[in-house]
Amino acid sequence: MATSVLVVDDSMMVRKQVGSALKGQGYNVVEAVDGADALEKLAGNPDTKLIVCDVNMPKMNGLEFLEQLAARNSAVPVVMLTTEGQPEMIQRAKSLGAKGWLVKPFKPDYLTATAKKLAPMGT
Amino acid sequence: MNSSSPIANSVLEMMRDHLEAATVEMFADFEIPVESVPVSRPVTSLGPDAPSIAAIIGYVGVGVRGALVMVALERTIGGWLSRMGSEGADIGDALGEFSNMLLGRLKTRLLPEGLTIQLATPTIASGNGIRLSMPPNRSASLVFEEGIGSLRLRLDATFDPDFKLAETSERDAPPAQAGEAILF
Repeated sequence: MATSVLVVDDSMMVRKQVGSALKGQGYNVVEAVDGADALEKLAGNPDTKLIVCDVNMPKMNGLEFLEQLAARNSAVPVVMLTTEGQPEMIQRAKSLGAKGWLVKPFKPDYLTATAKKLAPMGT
Repeated sequence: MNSSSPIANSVLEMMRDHLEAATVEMFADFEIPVESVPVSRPVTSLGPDAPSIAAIIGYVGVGVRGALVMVALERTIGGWLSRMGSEGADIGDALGEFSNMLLGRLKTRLLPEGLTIQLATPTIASGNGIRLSMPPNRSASLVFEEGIGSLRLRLDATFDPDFKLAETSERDAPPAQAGEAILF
């Protein structure tokens, strides 16, 4: 069974671009439009091995989503994919348990290399 | 301080220059070579009947607040998406993401200048011949041309009376740049 990745972004274009890059490497991709939706999708997909998450989103942003995951003791690694590059924000994400930070527009090779490192195929 | 004061004007001009460079840089990353052209008049309009899209995204910082507005023809954005391999993507969603990425790049460029802003999420409007009035002394206007069409930007900024740029140090950690990947 393909390793499952949850892609969280309020932009459909970004979800499709990220999904296309990951599917090309054999990953199964589930999409969510914001942090609140991601919590629901995660509950419905307990085999999720990696989360790729935007920061600036309506309803529940990426940092609030990280807080929710920490409160749930989630062990699923999260990589932030965002337009933001502010050091304080990156440190905040790291302190909340994020495993990586990619700045848009992302390089597909960097994204897939990160996915393979944090969620190797077959896990 | 209102936005017509010398300091506000110089900061707005600095923001405008960074926005111009960031726009060229961002579209170049998508292999869309936009070129900044002189703004002939301070109104964002793209024709009376052409289907257009506008993306508006707000920002706020210490002593400053405003918004970035992007306007383009639907066919222009559609053409760019085709060249990016994203044919069929929602055009409004795409312009919203462009505005988000552009304001993010502007934020990154402003950090070393001593101006930290936080971004809202984009709002999209569509219609024929979208026009935006241009408040004097509170906005910077930019026009970019590319083979298949143009893109118009408006950057609004309102400054508090006690606004000033923060002092920065070479010891401050540099912001992460577009395309960069950091693993913790």
